Amino acid sequence: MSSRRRERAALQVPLHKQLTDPLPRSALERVRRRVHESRRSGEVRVWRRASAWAPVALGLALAAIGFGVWRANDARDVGPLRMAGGAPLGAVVARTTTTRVALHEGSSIALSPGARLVALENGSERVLLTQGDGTITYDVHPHGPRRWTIDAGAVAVDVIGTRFTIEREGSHVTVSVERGQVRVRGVAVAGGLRSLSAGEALEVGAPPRAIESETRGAAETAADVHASYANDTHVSEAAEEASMGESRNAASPTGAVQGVASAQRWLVLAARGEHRDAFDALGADGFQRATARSRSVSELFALADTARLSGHAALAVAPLERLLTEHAGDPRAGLAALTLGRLQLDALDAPGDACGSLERAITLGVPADLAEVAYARLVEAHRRAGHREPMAASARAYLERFPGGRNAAHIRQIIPNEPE
Amino acid sequence: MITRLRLVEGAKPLAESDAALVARVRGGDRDAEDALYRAHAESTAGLIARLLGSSQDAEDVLHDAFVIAFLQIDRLREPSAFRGWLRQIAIIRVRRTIRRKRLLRALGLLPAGDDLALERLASPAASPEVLAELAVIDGVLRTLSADQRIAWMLRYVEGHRLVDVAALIGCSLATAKRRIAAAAEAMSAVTDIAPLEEGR
Repeated sequence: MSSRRRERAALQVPLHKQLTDPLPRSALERVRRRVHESRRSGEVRVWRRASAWAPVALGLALAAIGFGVWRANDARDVGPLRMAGGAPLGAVVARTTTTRVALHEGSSIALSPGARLVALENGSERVLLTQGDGTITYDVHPHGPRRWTIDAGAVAVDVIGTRFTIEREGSHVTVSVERGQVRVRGVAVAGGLRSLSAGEALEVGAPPRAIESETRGAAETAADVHASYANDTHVSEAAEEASMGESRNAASPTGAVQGVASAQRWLVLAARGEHRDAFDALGADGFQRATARSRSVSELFALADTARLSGHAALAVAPLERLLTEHAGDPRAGLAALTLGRLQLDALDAPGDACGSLERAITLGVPADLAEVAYARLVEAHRRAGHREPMAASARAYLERFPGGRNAAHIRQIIPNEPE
Repeated sequence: MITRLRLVEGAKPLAESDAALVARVRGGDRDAEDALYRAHAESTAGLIARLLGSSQDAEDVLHDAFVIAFLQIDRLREPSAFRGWLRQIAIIRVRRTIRRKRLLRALGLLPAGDDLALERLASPAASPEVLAELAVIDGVLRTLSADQRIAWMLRYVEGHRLVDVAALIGCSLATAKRRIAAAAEAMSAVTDIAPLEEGR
């Protein structure tokens, strides 16, 4: 079964089985009181019908003003990058046809069939996107307020305002610029850094080979796959380490090669989302060895996901802690701390540990969409750990930052003195 | 102790319980209203919130649906069918709310964006692929008409049978099928969701 078919299989209908309850119990209780009050007072909510149409009438009268306000908001351009319809740019997958995403500030992104893009960070000043395999053309509106960075595995591309294309297939990445200028970073780039102007292109990494190829071919393929995750690891060294780690008992050269392929197979499986198979490919011992030798943020994340999503939550702690210890300056460190905190809170029943992880996530910074989650989970962690004062302080911090947040009503109940 | 006995009685089939509660509501019993709310609020709220994609609007629609249901409870011909009837009322309110918000947004009187996009509702264990798929689906749903959005979601998100979708929307089976097909066509351009077999 191809990886794409497996990805599709991950989404099962009806979809509600994969969704959480949208409204907390506190909201249901709030509505219950409202219903009770409406029935007690005998109020028929005619005013809402009026309120439904009054703004429309007002809107027709004030359309010009509304349009002006709208344009003024656009000119100020605060908040995340938004797609047509107003949703923040999150994850985009192009299936069978080219998908073009128009953004509110004039930029656009065109994904060729099969390409995938995920926004790890989307704020007023910075956008961090990660591109999977496939070809994506970025047309970034010049002089915008946001600094764009695209993580394409072997390289990271810094953009200000330009039109360029990234083609990625594993560790093989080509960046070509049509207009403006970009800066390409990565250990695979000569000198670690190169600026590209209009008409220039940069190709990094060898074209991938089939993973099933034998002898030396298999070793190179394993190295390529590894490089796509561990771009700050020397490729041949990684393959050699992998073969030593996985084939200690293999006496023949063929056995050693099979060991390399086996050691890296988990990365391929994890990249496909087949985390149970990825964990089985590694085994518990192999997982710990891989955690100990991993040097890149991407690989440590992949290890943590493999453990977490294959039902081995406790094993996910080590790669995340290592990531936080050794890559605290990475933009994804906050996300790692948040993941660790949620893991400790939900799967490991360790709210005391979760407090520290979630506080660290907030300090390091998490993508804008997840900030509310981090603050809310910190309140929950303190509550479950029995930290009364810190719980009240974190609850106040939440309400100050997200007065209309999804969890605001619930958190107000925790500290009833807060005005609703 | 009496409360415990009542709880045991409450374990009888839901339809009987609803019918009894509806009869008490018709007699002016406010406690029965409360009991009906507690029995159906959670599932109805989930339906409304997913259809709307907004928690604030969901609270308003949930409130309105129950108030209207209690006000018009004499019109309910089959008391045991309270749940389906309540959902019909809720879906009418959802449709109005979606249309109203789109108009207000078109006039620039309402900020863009809702807080309950599908990918934000994903369970914590959802893989990045599932999150990405849900985000794509949510993006398409925002481009559909209110009728198509509701019909498709009742079928593919909530998992209702076609005949139940038609009943909940209050249209013919053919109309429900047509709306779902139109939405599925738009959806097929960006994602692959296998058609649900009838009966599921």
